Amino acid sequence: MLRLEGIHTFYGPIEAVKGIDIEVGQGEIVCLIGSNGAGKSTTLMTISGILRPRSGRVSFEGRDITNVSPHDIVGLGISQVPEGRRIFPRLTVMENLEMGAYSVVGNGQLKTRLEKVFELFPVLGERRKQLGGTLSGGEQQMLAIGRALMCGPKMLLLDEPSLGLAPIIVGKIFRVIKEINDAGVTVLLVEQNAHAALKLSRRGYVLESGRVTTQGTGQELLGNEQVKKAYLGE
Amino acid sequence: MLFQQIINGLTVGGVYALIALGYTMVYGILELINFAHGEIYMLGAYLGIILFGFFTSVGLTSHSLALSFALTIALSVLFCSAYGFTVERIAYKPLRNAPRLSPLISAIGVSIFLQNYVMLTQGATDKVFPDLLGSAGFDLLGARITYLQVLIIGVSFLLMLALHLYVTKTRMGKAMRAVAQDKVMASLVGINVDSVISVTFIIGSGLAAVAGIMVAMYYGLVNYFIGYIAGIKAFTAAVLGGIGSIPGAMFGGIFLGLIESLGASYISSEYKDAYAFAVLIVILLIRPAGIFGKSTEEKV
Repeated sequence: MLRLEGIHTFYGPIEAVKGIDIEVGQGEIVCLIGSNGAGKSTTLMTISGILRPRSGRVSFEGRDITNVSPHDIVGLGISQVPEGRRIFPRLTVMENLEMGAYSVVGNGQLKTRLEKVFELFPVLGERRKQLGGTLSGGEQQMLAIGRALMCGPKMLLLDEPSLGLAPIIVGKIFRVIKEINDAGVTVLLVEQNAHAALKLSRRGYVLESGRVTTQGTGQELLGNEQVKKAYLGE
Repeated sequence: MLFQQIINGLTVGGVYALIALGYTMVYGILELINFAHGEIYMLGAYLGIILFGFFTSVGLTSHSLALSFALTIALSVLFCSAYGFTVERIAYKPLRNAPRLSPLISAIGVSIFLQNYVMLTQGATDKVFPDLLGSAGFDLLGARITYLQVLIIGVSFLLMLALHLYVTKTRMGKAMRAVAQDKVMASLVGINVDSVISVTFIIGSGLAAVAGIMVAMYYGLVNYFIGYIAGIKAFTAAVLGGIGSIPGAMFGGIFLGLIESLGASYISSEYKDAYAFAVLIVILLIRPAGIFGKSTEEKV
């Protein structure tokens, strides 16, 4: 469904991604794990069109999207929950969600999507009139995911959804990701919380300084000695 | 006396507010002080004179004053919006990823270019706007209020209300606020950031055009240099209210108009232009982000 071939992306003068090949199949949950600065976020930003690769090709459903503009990529069905959630702090919860549906025209669809998001995260419904910036970290993460779902994506890119959250909320977020995937949305997940991510994912890639060093199924990577040592703390 | 000065202050303040909105909206989105904005206002004033003169020469004015006035405003807004749009495309958009100083210098360049362009094509002497309403008006609470003042105050406040409704209720207005808060995230939700920026310039320039015509009518005189001082004052108003904040620009403009008018009559009219800056200094000492300015906080 999504394929990255030989992607090199520079972040300023630094080559953050040095020739990555990744594939995500329809309906899969695939995770990218790796330490800080391994190039995980850069990879997601390249897929979303925010960063342009110096060379290589990104294709989605067989179509080359390497040079498609970010807002059109959303229109094609790829939605991202970026690192740090990036809630619009001075828009209300409701307005944040409406912005998520910006590429969708038609009020009917907007309503059903809103209902779905409020069903997934009832707390957002209670706080719909509150400013995004006043929510707690966990609520902001829920809002970020809800906002990304508002456009009815075929594929969801999640960048460190568990970062800085209490364990109980992390559990809830991971359950929701599973639910979203069960509903037919393909997921590409970037995580530092490698254990939880690999358990959830069908397949995974390990990134080290801009390159894919190991790949395999979630189970394989959980059992891999190197992965255990470097990322699972065993 | 006091009421008279308040009315005078509101008239000038409404105009300042309209210009200040253009500064603050562009700053909110691009963090760019659009120094060419005052020139758009000046162009609006000139276009007012030219268009109105044209309608007079073809006999429309004597047929229907209201219609020719409405057409003058509409066409002037259209032209100025086109100017604002074009300036952004030519002078700012290519510098979107350049260091912050570059678009600022580009803005100063556009400002100098437009001033000289108007000076060369329209001459360096004052142009006169026809005195339409004269000093016709009415007396209220001991103050003399002209119909022109009523018109200027009414139009300014209506436009401010319209803008407020636009940014809070419409899809594009909300997108403008989203872009101002986080451009990358805005494109990640599917907003075309470039077209939102264009719309911002179009709206800001349109408001400046209306302000230009109204000032031309109020003072009766226009020259190629009026954009400079009005631009500086409106910019002061925007900073006073908190640059980037739309209610701030509205408040700042009206506040500045009142200060000027009251200062001129109760202290000394010699220093009329200085009051604005004195107040700016005091307010920035107390509240560096301006009255409505927000210090952003991040939550983890």
